[in-house]
This record gives sequence, structure tokens and C-alpha cells, in this order.
Amino acid sequence: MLGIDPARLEVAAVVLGALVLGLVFRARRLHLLELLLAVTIVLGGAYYFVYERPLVQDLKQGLDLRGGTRLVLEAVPTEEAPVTEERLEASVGVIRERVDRLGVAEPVIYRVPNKDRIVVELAAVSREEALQIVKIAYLTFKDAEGNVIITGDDLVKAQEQLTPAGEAYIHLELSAEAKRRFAEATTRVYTGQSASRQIFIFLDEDLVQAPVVQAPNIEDPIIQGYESLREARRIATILNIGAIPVNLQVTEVREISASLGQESLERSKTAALIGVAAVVLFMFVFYRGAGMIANFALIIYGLLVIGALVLLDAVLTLPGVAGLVLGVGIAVDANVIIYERIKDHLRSGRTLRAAVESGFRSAMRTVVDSNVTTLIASAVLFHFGTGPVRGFAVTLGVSILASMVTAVVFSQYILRLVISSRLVRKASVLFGEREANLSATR
Amino acid sequence: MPPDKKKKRSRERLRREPASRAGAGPSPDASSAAAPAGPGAPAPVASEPKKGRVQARKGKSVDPADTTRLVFGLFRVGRIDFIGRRRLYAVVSGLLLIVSVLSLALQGLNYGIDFTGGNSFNLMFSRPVQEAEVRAVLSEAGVASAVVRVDRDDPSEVLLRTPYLESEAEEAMLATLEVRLGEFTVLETDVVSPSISGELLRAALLAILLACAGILVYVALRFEYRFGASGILALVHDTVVTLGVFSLLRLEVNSAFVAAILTIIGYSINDTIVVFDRLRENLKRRGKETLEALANRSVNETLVRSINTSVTAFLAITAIYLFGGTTTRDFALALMVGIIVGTYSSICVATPVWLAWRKRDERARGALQSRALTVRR
Repeated sequence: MLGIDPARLEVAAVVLGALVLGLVFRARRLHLLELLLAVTIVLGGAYYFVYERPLVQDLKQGLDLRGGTRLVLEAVPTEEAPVTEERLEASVGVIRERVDRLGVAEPVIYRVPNKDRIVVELAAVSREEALQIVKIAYLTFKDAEGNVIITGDDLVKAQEQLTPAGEAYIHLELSAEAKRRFAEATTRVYTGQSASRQIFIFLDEDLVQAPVVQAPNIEDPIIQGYESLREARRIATILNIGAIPVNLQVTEVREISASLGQESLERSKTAALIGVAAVVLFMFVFYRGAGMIANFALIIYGLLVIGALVLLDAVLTLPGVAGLVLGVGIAVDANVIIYERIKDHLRSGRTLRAAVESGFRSAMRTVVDSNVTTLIASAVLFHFGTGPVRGFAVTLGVSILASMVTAVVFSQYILRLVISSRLVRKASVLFGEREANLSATR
Repeated sequence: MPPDKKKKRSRERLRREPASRAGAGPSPDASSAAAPAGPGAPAPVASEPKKGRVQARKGKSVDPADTTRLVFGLFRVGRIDFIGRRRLYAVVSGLLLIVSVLSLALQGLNYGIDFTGGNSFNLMFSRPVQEAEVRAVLSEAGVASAVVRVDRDDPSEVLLRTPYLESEAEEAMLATLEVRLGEFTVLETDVVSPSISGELLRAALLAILLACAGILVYVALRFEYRFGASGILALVHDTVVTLGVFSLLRLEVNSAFVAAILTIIGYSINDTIVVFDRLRENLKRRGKETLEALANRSVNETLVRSINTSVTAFLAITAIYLFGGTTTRDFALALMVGIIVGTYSSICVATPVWLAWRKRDERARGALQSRALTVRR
């Protein structure tokens, strides 16, 4: 990721240059230039992450937004297949192997912590296909006529090994009773009583391999002729865990057609756009100049939230989108609290600059206290939620943090610059109330 | 900036004496910001008589710096007597709670299959269908207690919810539907076995309880226990009312609804904390003001913020409700109800409860003091 990419270097150079320029402006007290620079950086960043290297594309979408199937499987212990940690791990491995063979994009397969449960989420896979994948598979060794010689139950273990000469092979450890059957079969196949001298190894209907029998009466077989130990290990793994080693019962199936997912995605986009536009409009109408600063800070907020979600590898679900949009509505809250404080202080007769300073300071504690309580709720939700609820908790938590950061750090910075650059001198322009209202007690 | 800071602190001490500040503008920048207001001729005329009238009616002046003001030229905020109407709010909240609890007790919640187990289908037929005919076909297929909902906007889209069906039974039902009502595409199916569903409900309840406990502890640490408990009471109020609305309207309660409830809890406490924070601050500088007046002033001072935040959050979620599609509609509705109730409860439930509690405690202390004989040392 950190390879020397010229495009990346270019970006780094631009960012560095802007920072240096900013420091120079700051030292020289060229507030207006500093403000212009800050605005340019934010707009440039937004352009970069929307058009040049769209962040949204890196965001994983949940099944409800792109269609697919979600399965929840519960391992139920039986006589032959007790549920153990290794067997569950192995089961996840088998399912992953099968999914990979199908070529599903971005499959999500995980175990539910502290539960004998496996969740499989496959995009653009129908319910039938998904159920097929998690079906218990049978490993069988057959002759050319289709007679079953041994099954997966007879195979104690398949182990890849190296000869002293460095040739890879697989040793098949068979149960005592299976050894006899295997010896008989190899004799039969070797002596030409079968149509072919091969033994066919199947996983359900899929042929895994068809090695040629080299001698009669083999009790303790090996399969040789692999190019590398790695290849031998791959085949040994399939032989070992080809069958899902636990009895899995399907406890939850959810299928969302691709068309519904597409529709949900489109609708979410529209709804999000309208929701954000409404908030932006409200903030402008109510707070004028300062409202526009809050709206401007929303750009940073959006980039932060989406960036954090990408980094956290979070999956965007339908309730998650609702959470994000609600997050925008709540994100301006910190700004509202701060602006109301500033207005209070203006009303009590302070100068614009003094009111902004003291307003920010006294609003700070309120902002932190009120947001920490909401964070507690989202942390609990994350810890105890499952699936889409969990996704929602992540988006809620991330958006609270991001809104605090943007309101407290960024809006404050811009607002100070606007005032110290003398771009705006009237409190009424910034806070949208008639001057009369702001200085009523004077 | 640093020299400015010192001046500001000294001015803070002068806060209560508006007249002395007129000439105290520390920098030319500051006076230029204040100057455009002019001699303030229109301002006092516009707001003074109003203020005078309100004060005369209430009979007590609280803080000269606090003034009423018009919001959008529509609402006048600043001196609304919330605390004086606390009996009215008690009645309103009481009624809301009684209706909610009655509905919850009598008809309960309409649990989705997440919590009961079962199958749900979202089917798109090639023609508009009617609820009755779908129901008839289902009972023919041997599926008796199914929930059928035909989409309002597109009557060819149907939502079905049945008790838990094994895959053969499910196939049989779908086959019958196809024979009787024509072809359809399956937009969405959801099967939850009853074995897992009870656990989901328990986990959801546990999550809500733990969230409340966490919030209570935090608020108790940062404020005082009375604030914590009053805030929790307000959010219980909000949760019960939202549950009541869902019970009354027979809307589906599923995992997403749990997420909505938790968001409401977060929102409600957030809203309450902002009011309490102002109360805490005003308490520190409490003069001869009665507790009622102080509480009322605090609510009024934070009122614009309460309204604005609710409005922006409400606007955002309304967009999801209106344009976000069927899947998130109920989810958005829960949040809309929660935002309204949450804002109401911060002002009209949490604050009066805190006030009553604090007054009782103060009275108890006062009663003791009035018959105390202090030992001289």
C-alpha cells in the first residue's frame, strides 16, 4: 500500500506544500489568505475523495443493498460428529473453500463468538445455491464402475509429506477395517478386473483426483506425483476436511434479490441526498454565516465518517444508511449548542470575538457530556447486536465521534479565521439574528 | 489572541452590569462589531414592552440579560412558563403512558420473525393482488395464521409472514401461490428457526438494560444521582411511548427496531443532558432565585437548541421515511416518534421530576434545620 506511486507522491507534495503555506500565513497573520487556503484544501480534498479516488467505492455494502443470501448455521452435536473448536474451525475452512471455488465476490464467513454458530453472507448468490454450499459433502473413493471403496468416514487422516529425495506425497491413514477393503480393491483394480486402473476420489459429485494404482494389495496407501508440498497439502486438506465435520443446521436464511438490493440502494441515495439538503438548508436559514460554516464542516464530517468506515472494514447496511443520515442531522447539534452559547454571550453584551471564544469554551463540556452518553448506547449496541444492528452501531458511533471532532475543532477554527480576517464584522451576518436582538440589553 | 483572553476574563466578572460595559470595548475590532447596532433605538422599543409585560405578569424578574426573542418571526421564546405547567405535562405523560401500557398489555407487540421464528416473503406478482385472495390461497395451502400485507404504492407487491415452515412446506405453499395467483418473483425471503429467535429477543432486552445502566452511571458520576435518575426516567418514558405507538399501530418489531430504540435512548438522554448541563451551571450561580424559576430559566435558555437539533434530526429521518423505501419505513417512523417524544420529555418530564425530587430533599433538610440547636464549640 505504501509503494512509491507517483500519483500518491503528487498528493503528498500538494498536502505538504499547503501545510507550509498555511504556517507561513499563520505566522504573518494573513488571516484572509489562511481562510482561503483552508477552504481550498477542504474543497480539494472533497473533490479528490469523490471524483479522483472515490471513498464510497471502498465501502462494503451489505446484502440488503446489493442482494444475496445470508445463512446462519448452528452446529448440532451428534454421535459421530461432536462439536469441537477444531471441527468448527475446519467447517468454516471447508465452506470458505467451496465458496472460493464458486468465485463469489467478497464472501463474509465468520463464527459467532462464544456460540457454535457460523454466519455465511454471499452477495449475488441465490438461496438454493447458498444452501447447496453448506450442505454436508461426502468424500468417496470409487472404482471405474462406481463401486464405493471407502468413504470419508474411513479416512482417519490425510497427511502431506516429503520423501528424502524431496518429492511430495500424501499418506492416507485408514481405519483398520477400511485397510482390508482398500487392499482388496487395489488388487482388483491393479489386476485389470476394472475398466481403469485409476481410483476416483469424489467430493459429492466433484472429482477431486484420480490417481493410478501402481501395485496390488495396498493396505497403507500413499498418493505421489505432486509438484510441490504445497499442492500436496492443498489436496490433503480437501481430503481431510472435504466433508464439513460437524452437523450444521440452518437456523436463519435471508435472501434479498439483486433487484430489491439495487432499488434499496437507489432509494437510500435519494433519501440521503434530500435529508442532507434539508439539514443544510435549515442551518443556513437559521444561522446564516455560521450555519454555512457548520455546513462546510459537514464535508469534513462526511469524509471522516466514510473514511473511518472504510478503515474499520465496516459493512454499510440499510439501517446503517439511515443511521448516517440521522447522524448528519445530529452532527450539526454540536454546532447548534456552540452557536446558541455564542449568541447568549453576544446578547449579554460581549464583542463578537470574545463571545465566540467564551461560547466555545463553555459549550465544550455540554457537547462532550451529551455525546458520551450517546456513545455509551452505541457501544452497548455494538457489543450485543448482530448483523445489520451491529453495522448500525458502528455507523452511529463513528458519526458521533466525527461530528464532535468537526464541530469542536474544525468549525471553531474556521469561525475564528472568518472573524480575525475581518471578512465578517457583524454578528448578525454570522448568526442570522437581527442586530437588535443580539444587543437588546445594551 | 492571548492578550485578548485576559481582558475577556475580567469582562466576565462584569457580566451582570450591562451599563458599565458600554465603554469597555477592549479593541477597535470589538467596538466595530458592536457599533453597527447603533444607539439601539429600534431594539429596545421592539423588545422592551413585551418583556415588561411578561415580567409584570409573572411578578418576578430573573435575569436582565435574558430576553425574549422571536424565532423565524413566528415563535417568541425566552419566557415560556414550562415549570408552571408541570401538572399539565404530568397529565399528558400519564395519559401517553397509560395508553401505551394498556396497548402493550392488551394486544402486545407485533413481533417480527426475528423474535418469534418463522418465514417471511416479499413477493412481486405480475399483477395487482388483493389481501383477501392471498389469504384464501394460503389457507388452501394449509398455512393458517399468516400475516399478509399488500403494498400501498404497488399492489402487486406482497409481504407475507408465516409461522416457521420447513423447506418442503414452504415450497408447497409457494407452488400453490403460483398456481392460483400467477407467477411472481421473490424479492426477499427470511427464515428464522424458533430455536434462535428467543435468544435474539433476550439479547435485545439485555442490550437496552445495559445501555441504561451505563448512561445512569456516567450521568451520576458527572452530575448528581438525581439528574441521572430523572434522565433515565425520561428515557424509560420515551421507550414506553415508542413501544406503545408500535403496539397501537401494529407495526413490526424486529432487530432494526431494537436499533431504533437504542438510538432513541441515546438521543433522549443526549437531549436531556443539555438541559441538565445548563441547570447544573445555573445552580452554581444561584442567587435568591427559587428553584422553579431557575429550572424554568434553564429550560428556556436551552430551548432554541432543543428545537433546532430536533428539527434537523427530524428533517433527516423524515427524508428516510418518505424516500427510503419500504424496508426502512418502520425503522424511520420509530426514530421520528422517538425524536418528538425525546425532546418533549427532556423539558416536560426530566426537568420537573428533577425539580420535585430536589425540592423534597431541600425541604427535608430545611425542616431539620428549623428545629436544630447548634452546638457551640
